[in-house]
Amino acid sequence: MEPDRAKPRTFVEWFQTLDRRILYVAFFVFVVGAHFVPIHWPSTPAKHTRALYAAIENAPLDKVVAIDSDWFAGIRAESENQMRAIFHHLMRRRLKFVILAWARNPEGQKFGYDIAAKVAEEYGYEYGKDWVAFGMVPKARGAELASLAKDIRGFIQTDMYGTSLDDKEKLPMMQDVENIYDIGLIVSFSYGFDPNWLGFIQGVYGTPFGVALSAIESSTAYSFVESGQICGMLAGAAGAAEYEQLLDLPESKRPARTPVNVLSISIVYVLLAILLGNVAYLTSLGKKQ
Amino acid sequence: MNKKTALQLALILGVAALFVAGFFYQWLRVHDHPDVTWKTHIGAWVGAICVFGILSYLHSENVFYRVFEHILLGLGLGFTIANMIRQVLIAKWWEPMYAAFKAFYRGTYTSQSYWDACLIVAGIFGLMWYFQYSKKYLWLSRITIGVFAGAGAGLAIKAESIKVFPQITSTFKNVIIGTSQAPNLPVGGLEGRLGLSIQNVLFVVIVCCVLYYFFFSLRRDSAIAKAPANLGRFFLMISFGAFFGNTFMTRVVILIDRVHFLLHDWLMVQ
Amino acid sequence: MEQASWALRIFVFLIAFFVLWKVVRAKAGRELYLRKIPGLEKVDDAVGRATEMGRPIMFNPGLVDLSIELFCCLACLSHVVRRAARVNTNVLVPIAYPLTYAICEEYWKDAYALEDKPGLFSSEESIRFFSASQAVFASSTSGWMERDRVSANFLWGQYGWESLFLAEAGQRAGAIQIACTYSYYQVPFLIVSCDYTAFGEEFYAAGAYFGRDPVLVGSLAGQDMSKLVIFLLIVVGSILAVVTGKFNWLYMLLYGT
Repeated sequence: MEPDRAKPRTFVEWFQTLDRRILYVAFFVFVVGAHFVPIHWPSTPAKHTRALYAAIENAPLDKVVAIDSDWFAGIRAESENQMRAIFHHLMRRRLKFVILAWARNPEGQKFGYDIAAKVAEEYGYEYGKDWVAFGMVPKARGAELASLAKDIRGFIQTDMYGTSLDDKEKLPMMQDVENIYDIGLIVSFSYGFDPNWLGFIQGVYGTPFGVALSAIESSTAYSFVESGQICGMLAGAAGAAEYEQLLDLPESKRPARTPVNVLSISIVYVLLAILLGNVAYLTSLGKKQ
Repeated sequence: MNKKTALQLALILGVAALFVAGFFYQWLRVHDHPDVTWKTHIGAWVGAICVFGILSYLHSENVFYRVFEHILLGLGLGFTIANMIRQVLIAKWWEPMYAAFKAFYRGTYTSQSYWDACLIVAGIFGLMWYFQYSKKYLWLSRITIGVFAGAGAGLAIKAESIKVFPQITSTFKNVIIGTSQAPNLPVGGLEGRLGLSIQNVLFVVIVCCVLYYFFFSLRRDSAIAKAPANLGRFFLMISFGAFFGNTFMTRVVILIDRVHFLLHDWLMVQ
Repeated sequence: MEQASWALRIFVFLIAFFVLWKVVRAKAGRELYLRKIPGLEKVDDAVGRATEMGRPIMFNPGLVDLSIELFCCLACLSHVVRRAARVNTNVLVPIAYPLTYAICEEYWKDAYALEDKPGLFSSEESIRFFSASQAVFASSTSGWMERDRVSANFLWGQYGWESLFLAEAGQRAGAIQIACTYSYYQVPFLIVSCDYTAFGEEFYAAGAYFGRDPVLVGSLAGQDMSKLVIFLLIVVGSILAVVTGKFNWLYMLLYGT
């Protein structure tokens, strides 16, 4: 299908035989340049972003929010900003929360704790009294969620420092948290959400379940948002930027705007490449015929 | 020197020049950041070298890329193994089990001790995996595989059923939205009665055509039988285009994050 | 609902009944029709091409863990390895999970043994465990692919963002690429970068397609009957939604309230 690499005659043929490495370097330079373009694109928060905002706004104050921190450094650009925005909202509403961590993904625990600790300084949140980061537990195809729902303290046992969850002095918040009925909302931060949350928690106990995913996986989650199984969703870096807008955070606390602005400009490059590539391909097909 | 070698040399020199320029630039700029010292900044330098080492794969598979590939492999594996041993095997298996048997020995056991002692069964099952390496006792490892596969299948049946059912009910769309069903909605516009009706019709037709595409045991000899399958494939391609767009966004944002790191944390330009 | 509703119980038993019924019919010798799946028909051609070029084949199950999908994958692995064994070609298998390694190794060895070629190639060198971390898995597999210059690359399993990475590496190595995945969001990338692509349910059908084992073929036919029931439910539900509104008796029956 590749055209003859002998001396090209037209721009279209030259473009088709262009070394892809030049395209890579050009794209890299384009993205670097886009960082210096001071254009801020306005955005309208999507329906699913507003739904997650409403879910947190309506979360009961006498229950805790469970944060499933299951993301990793590779998607930091999206998940970090999403998590920061959600923590701002939780702490603004004075909602207590716990951070779940899984043994297969140690980074999630570290990132979740670091971001929560940083935002907690602004709102005067105390560890143990207003929020707790759990110790890691293994994933077991949904059995871990079924156990978690029935007895949180018995299953998790310790926080990330090894303090027993039954310790009333160090973790007073946990004394009121026994099982799934003490959790008012679950928000899962991950690359792609674990569907076992729906099968073992949301579908069984009806606990509202929201997700903050990478943009890739948001496509698969739309059907669950449509059916109401997922109460709200943040999709990628754009979701984080939209959420910051809904919270009306000051400019200095909107780190998601930079990647979204650069993304909007970078898309121009890709659209041009796709357009030119398709024109070249269709033209070469026409010539063959 | 041929063109290819010249291009490769130019690329290597270009990256090296970038690093040298970056070094001098930071040497001049570091006094603007009082909280940044060379000790704290070494992490950014290591990160920047790793970024360019891995990105060098875009040119071709080379020794720099292989070095960083193996570093990443070793770090990832080591971290996971250490974490599993410390946080799962020791904290969740060995310690409770040991405490239970100690309690039985001392006579200070509770009802929980019985359950914790049962963890020895989990340990035996886990060790049975290693009979994979024995030709004579391979059948023991098959017991463990069978238990895992059976438990996994049982859990999956429960989870999938609960997950899928609401999806079926959410496809019951009203394809003709009249005044009686939605008196407050306008007639026209995307969110009006006509727009929503058209959306619902499309939704139901697309779901049915795509379902039909994935029938494997029905014959499609006639044009009428083939048409919904072709339509289903067409709609699937449209959805793949949407997936492509979303996927592209994530991947570019990952690159943007790395560029931001290079500009902000390493070069301290922004 | 902590316990299943009656509708859910009936539905699950109905699916089980359909599958068992078709399996019994298949085992009784009744020929069950399976339509052609375009991507899967080219597998044998790809193995043949690899033999002509004298380079190994790579069968990449991606990030499949111990699950139903793994067993679908293994059925295809057996088929590919047996075809390769007949023409003395090596099949390289990169693995992401330790549990998958043990099982894949068993299937790989059995497949060579079934063709009377046990020990033709070393499993320690041909099957390698890397990591479940996508970055590590992708970079290690692509490096291996390029160093060994594989001639056919089967991307058969679950993938994340590394799908395009692996497909690009396969293209650079000059391999013919056939992808079969149930990871929908990676299908567009595999369609543009691979020579042939099968997706979604076709992944699950592939095991039955190659082996024609009565149990697998019967299961597939039974699943088709279940899909037909869902199809009818959707049509009837939509008609009822027009006549009596969305929250009609069928909706309430299935929703369990």
